[in-house]
Amino acid sequence: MQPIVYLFFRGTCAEAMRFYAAAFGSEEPEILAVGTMPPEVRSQMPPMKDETVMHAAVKVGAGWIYASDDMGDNVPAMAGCNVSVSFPTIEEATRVFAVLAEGGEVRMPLEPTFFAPAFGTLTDRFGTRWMIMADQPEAA
Amino acid sequence: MPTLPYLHFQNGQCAEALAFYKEVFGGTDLQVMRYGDVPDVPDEWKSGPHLIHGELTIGDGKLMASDFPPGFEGDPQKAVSVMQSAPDVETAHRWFDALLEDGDVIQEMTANFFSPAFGMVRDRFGTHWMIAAMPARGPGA
Repeated sequence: MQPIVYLFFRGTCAEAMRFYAAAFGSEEPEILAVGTMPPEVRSQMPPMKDETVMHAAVKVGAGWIYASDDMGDNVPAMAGCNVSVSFPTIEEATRVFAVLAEGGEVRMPLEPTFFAPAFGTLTDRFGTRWMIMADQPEAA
Repeated sequence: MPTLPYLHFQNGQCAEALAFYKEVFGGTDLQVMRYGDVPDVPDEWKSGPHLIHGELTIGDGKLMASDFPPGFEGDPQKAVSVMQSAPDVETAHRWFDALLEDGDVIQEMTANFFSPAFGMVRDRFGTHWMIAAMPARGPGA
């Protein structure tokens, strides 16, 4: 029943999902590319490149992220939402924050706040917006 | 805490949206904190419905959200959806129909190769939903 974030990329879905698996120390993402679809399914679909991702799933922290490449022509950048991930320790939050921020933009540096021992926000190089935090010790 | 969608709403609609999702999904434990509840905020933030944080429990999962601060236009949600799986086809249809009130159909709910009922809707608050009757998990999920 956990609501799961579903992200849309402009042709970079597979690369982004592999980057997230590496950043979070997860297993390789599951990637379902157009080229793997049976001909009878593919014939029903608009023309697309083999490598376009129809669906992908990656384990992120204690949950999942799903994603695909958007088939539309005019895909906007992610907005109005963040992926929120919390970690049991500040060290882990700090490590992942630094990896995700490579080539991206830190919007709020990871720092202690009144609601978490560490909290920060960033937009990664694929355009995904993240809120990274460490759990309160009593909640860990 | 799990990895979860943290939605942002424009025009101070977050509290209203979360109350709507509570009703649609039979959510529990709706918690809201207003900008005005936080110490040392600017005077113009002290009144009004804007939430600095809200969260709703949906089954055993959680959805979090906030408003852009008062006076900030912010952005509508783009390039993201919330995937919510339903225990059965009937529930999936009920959720889809409820979310659709004054919203838009992105994709009509139908059976496909991965779910007996899958559809996409943008609700009246601008949140995009993918509703799927289980089994609707990703290849590895």
